[in-house]
Amino acid sequence: MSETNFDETLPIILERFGVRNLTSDEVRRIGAGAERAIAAVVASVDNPNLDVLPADFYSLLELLGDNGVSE
Amino acid sequence: MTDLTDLSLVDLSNQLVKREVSAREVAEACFERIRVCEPRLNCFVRLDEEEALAAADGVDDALAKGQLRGLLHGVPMAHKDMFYRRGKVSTCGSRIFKDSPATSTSTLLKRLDAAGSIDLGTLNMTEFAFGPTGHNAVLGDCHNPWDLECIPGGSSSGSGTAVAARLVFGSLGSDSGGSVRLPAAICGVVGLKPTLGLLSLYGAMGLSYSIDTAGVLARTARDCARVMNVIAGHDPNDIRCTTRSVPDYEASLDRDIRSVRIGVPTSYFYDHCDGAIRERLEQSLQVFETLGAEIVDVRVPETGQLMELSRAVLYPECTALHAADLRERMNDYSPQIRVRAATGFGIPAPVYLSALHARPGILKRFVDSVFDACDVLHTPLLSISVPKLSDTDVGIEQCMWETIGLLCHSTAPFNYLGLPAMSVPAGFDESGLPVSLQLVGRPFSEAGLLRVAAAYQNETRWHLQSPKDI
Repeated sequence: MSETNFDETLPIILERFGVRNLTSDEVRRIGAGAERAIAAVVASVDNPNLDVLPADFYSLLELLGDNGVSE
Repeated sequence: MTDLTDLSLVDLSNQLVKREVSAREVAEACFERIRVCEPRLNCFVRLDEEEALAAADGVDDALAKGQLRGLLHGVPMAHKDMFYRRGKVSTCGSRIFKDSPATSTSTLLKRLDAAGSIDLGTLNMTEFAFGPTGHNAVLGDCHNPWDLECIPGGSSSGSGTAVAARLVFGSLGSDSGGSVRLPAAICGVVGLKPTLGLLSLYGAMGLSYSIDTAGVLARTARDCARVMNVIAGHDPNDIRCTTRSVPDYEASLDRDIRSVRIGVPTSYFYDHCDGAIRERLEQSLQVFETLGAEIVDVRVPETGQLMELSRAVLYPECTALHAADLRERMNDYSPQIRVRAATGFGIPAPVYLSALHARPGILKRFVDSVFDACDVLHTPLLSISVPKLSDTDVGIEQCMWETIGLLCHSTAPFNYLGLPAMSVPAGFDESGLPVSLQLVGRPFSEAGLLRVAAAYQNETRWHLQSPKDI
């Protein structure tokens, strides 16, 4: 995994939030972790279905809820 | 005669109710064992001996008058140091909270108190529940009772260690990527991460609003069921908490599991799986088969990305919670936790929202695909031998993300999906370290998972073995 994508932008973001004095290694690790999550979203999430909202997740858990093996 | 601390939670409870043993005797036995083991395990953050013994006397007096406090009458427990109790400090494993007494008591602790449980103190954990190994630079590392050089698993490290070492009979933990199931598996006890929203998180430290789940560690599935009967269900103080009625988790445990379809995933979960662990998992499937369960191969969709999708949600939410402290008290974080807590700064809002927005669709496809084919998914919990503390003390080395990812490979996907999952002891490897299987079900199928696990434990004796020479 490349750790270079964030080398220039991440320090600026951190500075904006007032998070200072991280070492360059720490910033690189932050970039690498973020990069992995971003790559997963890019690879696996298509255009969002606007009929389904994030808050619907809890309702969906209820809807898909157990009605089998525990009965 | 069996040592009191060797009893399961439910067996102890039965003896307490029959007044064959008093709550004070049991609490004293636990404190005696803690005094012997704690110097090597470092699993307690705080011991509340005086208060616990007074509470034990209180439940003994009540029972003498014919008053049973509840399902956990006189049972000693201790919990991860992130469930707040009014007037007490919960460190959350960090320097940042070490001087801040809580202003309220968590709902789960209140429910346990009301059921008569005796709270012995608080347990070690990874700093801010943010790591799967059990290292803690602030409180000192917690140690695995089966091999003191090995990790206990995290982030509920003290919970896994204390239950396995027979210091307490059950413990609350939290699980945002495997933090109940990993220490349970690595220490050889049962760990249940329920469906997202089944347990109240009011008065518990937050890591990620959309991902966090409380959970239970105990020695048997039956013990977990008993605790779930006390703590599960709606809490008006936590709007994420379900309003559905909860079943009696103990009631169906003795029913057989004939015709239950146990699904074996055909991809992802056995990637990187150690040979000895694969062998134990296959043996466990044979046990399920002899119990009349049907073993079926199951294709699991989209699993490869679920761990990172979970992080795409968890890190921005965590960073939002920690932004002020990262700004003002950065040096009070240990380096790895500082990095992980700040990772959300690198995840753009559209990425976070996309991961959240995709979640219902991915859950629907997963449940439709997997739980049409089987009733319970059966996977390895940890695919590698339990690592040494020294081998995984990686700080912010380049291998940091890979090390964390390897440990959470089988657990984190179910945090993104919000599904119930549990860790069940399934034997030992060549080094004598625990191996565990993972059972996963459709939403709110905890009673079914516990029944399958209890049936397995009725046929096996792994959960009865305890670490020696601590």
